[in-house]
Amino acid sequence: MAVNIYDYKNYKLFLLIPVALLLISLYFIPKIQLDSSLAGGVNLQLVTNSTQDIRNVSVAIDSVFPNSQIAKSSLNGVTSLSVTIPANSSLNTASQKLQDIFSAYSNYSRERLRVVSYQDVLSREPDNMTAKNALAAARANETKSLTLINSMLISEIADLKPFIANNTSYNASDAAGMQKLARNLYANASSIYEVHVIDVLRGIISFTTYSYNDVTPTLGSFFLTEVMNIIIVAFVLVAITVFVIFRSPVPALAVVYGAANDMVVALGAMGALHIPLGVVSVGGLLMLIGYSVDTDILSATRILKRSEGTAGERAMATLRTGMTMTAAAMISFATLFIVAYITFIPDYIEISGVVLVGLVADIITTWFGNAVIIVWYKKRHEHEPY
Amino acid sequence: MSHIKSYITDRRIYPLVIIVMALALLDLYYGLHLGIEFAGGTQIPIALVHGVNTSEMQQLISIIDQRVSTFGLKQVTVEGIGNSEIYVIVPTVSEAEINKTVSIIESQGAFMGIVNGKEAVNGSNILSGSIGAATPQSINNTVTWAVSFYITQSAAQNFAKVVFGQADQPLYMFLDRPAGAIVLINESILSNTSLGLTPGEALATMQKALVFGNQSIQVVSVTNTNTSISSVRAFLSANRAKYKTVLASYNLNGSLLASIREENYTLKLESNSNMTPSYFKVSINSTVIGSWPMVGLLSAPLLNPSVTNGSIGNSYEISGAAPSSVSKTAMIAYAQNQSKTIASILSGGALPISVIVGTPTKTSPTLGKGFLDISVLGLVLAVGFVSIFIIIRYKKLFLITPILLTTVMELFIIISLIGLIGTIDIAAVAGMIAVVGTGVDAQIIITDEVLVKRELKTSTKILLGHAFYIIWADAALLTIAMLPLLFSTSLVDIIGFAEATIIGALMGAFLTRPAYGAIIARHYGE
Repeated sequence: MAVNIYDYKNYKLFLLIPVALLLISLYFIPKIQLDSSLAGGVNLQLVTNSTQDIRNVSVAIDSVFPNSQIAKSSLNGVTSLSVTIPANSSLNTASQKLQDIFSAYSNYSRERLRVVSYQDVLSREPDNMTAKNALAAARANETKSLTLINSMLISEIADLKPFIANNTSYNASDAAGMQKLARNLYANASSIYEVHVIDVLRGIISFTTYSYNDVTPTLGSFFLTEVMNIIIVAFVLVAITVFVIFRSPVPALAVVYGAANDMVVALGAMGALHIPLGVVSVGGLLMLIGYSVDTDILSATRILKRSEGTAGERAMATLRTGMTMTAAAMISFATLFIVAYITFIPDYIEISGVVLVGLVADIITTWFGNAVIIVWYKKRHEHEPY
Repeated sequence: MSHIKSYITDRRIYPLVIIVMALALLDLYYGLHLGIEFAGGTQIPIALVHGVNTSEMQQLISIIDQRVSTFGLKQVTVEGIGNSEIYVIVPTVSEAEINKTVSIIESQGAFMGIVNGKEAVNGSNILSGSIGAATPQSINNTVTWAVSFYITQSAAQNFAKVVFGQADQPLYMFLDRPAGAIVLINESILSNTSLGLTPGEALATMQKALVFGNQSIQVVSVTNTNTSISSVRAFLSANRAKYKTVLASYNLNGSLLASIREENYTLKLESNSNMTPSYFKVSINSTVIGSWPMVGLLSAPLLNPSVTNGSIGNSYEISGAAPSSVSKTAMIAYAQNQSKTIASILSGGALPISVIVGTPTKTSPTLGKGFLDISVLGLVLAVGFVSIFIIIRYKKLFLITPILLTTVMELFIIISLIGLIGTIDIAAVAGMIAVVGTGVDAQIIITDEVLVKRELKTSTKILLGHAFYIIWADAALLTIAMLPLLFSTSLVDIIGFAEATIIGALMGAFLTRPAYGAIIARHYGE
């Protein structure tokens, strides 16, 4: 029999390894790059025949659109470039103004309706004081909303200066007209920006076809909140189920700790290795919970519930099974990662990247963390029947 | 041969075989749906200016869906993302089609209410947000519906003037009434009306509904005789400057159709049922047209004497009763539908909330085909490499058959179920790769228990029991971990991943892994 790491006198010290890894990861998590689906921005897929050096192209694009990212792939002799440009700040602030204009307009219409309905009441009961006061209040609010729409529109026009003609005239008492103008200006500016982006890229590199994907930062941040919520809910549900399965706090805690540690380390590794986090990463992160509890449950069950040999021997035997399992999972995701990396499909890279780094973390967490806790627990309770 | 037969009749194996065969037939019959990432297409994001609740979201989705599909765009998918975003997915990348879809989504119709050939009210007179459809009232055996709305002060004065003295006359409600149009109607349609009108009466009723000063829609009757055709020809060439569109039956005389085109009219051919309006009797000797969607006439409520006496009001109500000849439930449904229709006409068919259409995301069919090829390659390679790894690890060539068989069947079940019920997209394929991983993990647990521990002389049954305790716990936990994503209303791009892994976990736990266990147990002695 080979060396059994669980027979060392100070085997408990192994616990320090996953804990150290956890602390290092916590440092790297804030460095995670969000892709355009979460941060907002423009993603372009270009098909090109050009043989230019990708680095020169990247530098040239970056000089026009700072902080852009570029990746290249080849498939069947066709070269594709994926270019991600951060959201245009003028368009972004203008889009927020547009939202404000819409909500001010809906306030305006509500007040307008109130004005008319109180006038209606007053035409029948001219002395109704309540209606008179309400009418005055509605009139004041109506004017306030109108002023707000106008000032928002002025500031939207200022934001969109780079994209629109200098003199935009409109009737500042026509709320509906201002709302329409605000919407059209924004739509025109977005399409002018798209043309501008394509023109700039054409100046740098020739390409035949392209796809253009624009995510507003507001939508991106909404997706980010959703991703976090889903992961938290999934984690809590899994933790509850683990407690139901084990009905004993220490092994259950060990399993839950294992899953949490894997996820934190995976996120940290994404930050350190510049694997971008996108909407699709959520699938990979949830899968990691699955893979993590796979090996944790295997080790907990075998070490606690079997009787052949010592706890340490069972742990070592389980390690072999567990390593085979993790290796098999790594092979299937590594295949996807490599295929996706060569041919460049960002969604596959993001999902398989998360799972791969997470599985590496899982080996360390399960066999130096989780299994050590279980063996320790079992040794202390060796005389008690489980 | 009997060897194979004993495998297939094992009760842990044959359910799997039956299910796979059934799915194969369904796949052949119905075909599998591919997402736009693979089939090519465009996704148009629509942002709502504020959040809405679930029922409002459902309403919005159905309005957009109806609007887009009415305009002849096939296979359009409309899905809600969270509470303030909607995706419209069209299976085309043509710029023209996409622009058309966007303009259809943004468009708002023009409402016009005509009384006695004069405009009484129009869409811009109605105060936005003032249109309210009341819940149908049911008293004894009648069910009534009502829609109320406010109009502006100046519009109210015009309305009072136009409707003065028109008690019990119809208010013809048009949505997008065509301008400069001529309706060429076959005599046969005129002589076959539902209420038994004479052709002359039918024609007069139509003309009365469509009169509107110099923007009247001209209704011209035509028969298949030379005199009739030549008089219509003469009319058309004399009025070329006044009209630009001709609406006609598709089975109109061929030479007449040709001469309409020669005169450079825009010709719209309609079916006979579109050419036929629906009539209703107001009194013994008075019939009006209730609706005629071809010309945008959607409803014709009668004016209540209380509004036709010259008094000026700001709020109006359109109301009616459901036909009493049907069941109570049908009456309520009719009333609800009627008030909804009227409210939607008054608002110009507008969406109940303002929307901002975002930049469409396009995937060309060639790029999609490339993605599909790569995905299939990735799956095949993953299955291949994992199998090779297992054989090297256990040094037993026999294992390749059960591992490949169960993994491939598991993938086949996932692909079929998702492809038949939902759509196979990139996320679903990534989920399948994950399932290859978990499936093989379970096979390793089984193989380890049976092969490695056999030396301990424990019965295979007990060993399989041990293995399945862990496998079922894993499957349960994986399913639970994926549930929040499966039910997410916002991360729709990645839901396929949850679908694939959950189907994989459940099918694995109950079908494929028991079958694998059975094969291993039979081969290595039960």
